[in-house]
Amino acid sequence: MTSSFLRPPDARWARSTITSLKWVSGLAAAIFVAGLFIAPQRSWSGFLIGFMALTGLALAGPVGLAFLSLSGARWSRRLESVPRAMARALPAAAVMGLVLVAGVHSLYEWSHSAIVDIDPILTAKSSYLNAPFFSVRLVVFFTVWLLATRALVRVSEQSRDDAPGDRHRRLRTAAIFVLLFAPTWSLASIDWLQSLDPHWFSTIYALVTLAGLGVAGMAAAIVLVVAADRRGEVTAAQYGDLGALLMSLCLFWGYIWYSQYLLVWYTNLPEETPWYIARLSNEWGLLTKLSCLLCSALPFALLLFRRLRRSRTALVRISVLVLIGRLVDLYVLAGPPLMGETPRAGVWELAPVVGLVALFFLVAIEGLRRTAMGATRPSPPSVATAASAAAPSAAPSSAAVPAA
Amino acid sequence: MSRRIHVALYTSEEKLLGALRASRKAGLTVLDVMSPYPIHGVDDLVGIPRSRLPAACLAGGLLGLGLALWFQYWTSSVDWPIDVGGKPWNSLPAFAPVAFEMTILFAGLATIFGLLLRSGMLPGRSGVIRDLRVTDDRFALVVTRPDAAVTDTELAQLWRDTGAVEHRDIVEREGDR
Repeated sequence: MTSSFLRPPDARWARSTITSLKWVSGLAAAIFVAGLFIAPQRSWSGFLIGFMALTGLALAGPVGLAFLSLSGARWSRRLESVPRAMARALPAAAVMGLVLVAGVHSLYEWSHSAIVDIDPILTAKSSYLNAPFFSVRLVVFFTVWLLATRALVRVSEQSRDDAPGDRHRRLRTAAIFVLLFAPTWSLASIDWLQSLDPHWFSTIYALVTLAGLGVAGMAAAIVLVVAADRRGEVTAAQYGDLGALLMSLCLFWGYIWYSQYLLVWYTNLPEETPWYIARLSNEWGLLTKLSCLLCSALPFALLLFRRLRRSRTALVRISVLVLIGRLVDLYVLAGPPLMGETPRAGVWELAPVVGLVALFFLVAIEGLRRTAMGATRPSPPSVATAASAAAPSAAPSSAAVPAA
Repeated sequence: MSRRIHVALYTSEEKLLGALRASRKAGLTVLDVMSPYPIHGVDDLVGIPRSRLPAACLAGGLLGLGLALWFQYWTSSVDWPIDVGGKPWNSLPAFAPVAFEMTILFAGLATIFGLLLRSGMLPGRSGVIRDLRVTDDRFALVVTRPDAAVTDTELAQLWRDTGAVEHRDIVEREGDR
């Protein structure tokens, strides 16, 4: 049996990729800063979309770890360095969250007292939807996520499969994480995205954004697994499992999207329909259809084929489609209240999105290089490596599973 | 026509898998493996060809989808149209949940009935269990010698090497299976 973690990605490849990603995100940051003076509202719109993408991808790491621990999954233990590397982008997302606070007035209607004062509904909501409380909540969310993620990552690094105490610790940490994550993510997605349309609400909205987080996070994880697995250590069967997970998350995304749409369509209430009318007319309608196609229908149909599910090249291509689909999805969720009837995607909107997604992959690949290297070295933090070297066949049932 | 088959019993999954590899290497034809619980990846080792059940699953799913859409269309726009909240009679969004459920139901039923039919597990039939203890704590390997390429002594040696706790030969007549 090979080491219990993926080996680090090819050093030369990692270095050159990180360098080019640094250039991309640096250039994007420069454009964003320039945009703050030239076209502030458009730059902030792009920043919000990029920030949601970055936060979702970073949180997908601990969320994935938690769900794998809670379901007692053993097949994925060797791949856990990937969600841990994704979680490393969370501090960067927190910093970007603090930057977002500066853009509140360019983004959110409810932050303008002139509008709130003449609007009874917004006045009634103003004790919750106001800039200071918004900022406090943002800090609380990120503090909770950072602390819970740190605990989860530490447990994942240190635990072994065959130690019952470790298994219990994994389970407990994951359960606590999920209990903390569910309410904070609900409130955060209402704060950051839903409150762009402050008159509208949907009780399933947090699930819609969670499905997006899941589908994009899984796609990013697959891209990172393939990037790290340049020697072909991951078996076709394991790729098949990853592909099946992506397929089910694509189905979940479509299911949740439709669950929200169906109820609004069916009841046809004047306070609910405007949100969809804005997103289903003009070019926005095309983009909505494109997001449904890329996040759900197309990858689901392709992944039904076992041959594609088990092929790393096909999986990466499908995952990239899903990631693009998720960006379109975020664009459609956030766009209409910010841009009006016609979608705008010029350099001011695109630069922050590209820059923040590049920042995510930059941090994650760097993390993959470090955690994977740390695991193969017999230095202090590797309790797991030392213990498994001392007792190579302590877990016969897991060690003897044929590698096919 | 009859053939001789050989059954060897093991006490653990690992020994069984080892014996499985060894007997394939020695040129024996592996007929079956029996274990108290499913062993991950064993079907690849036995050399069972890929299942065609997914095709039955897909066909069932498409049939369920088509039937559900057709039936809802027929009831709500042809046979007994009712105005519900001013929606058009033929309202595809409203049909989607039932169509989704029926797709899953038919796909599931097609898979399970396809499995029962193909494996011959119909009412009144019982499977061949070579040794009752495989339902408890024994693992059985069932092999045959294709053209007597392996001699009796070689076979006995193989069972000894792989740690079989028991082995026995059965002469099977046509129609026994």
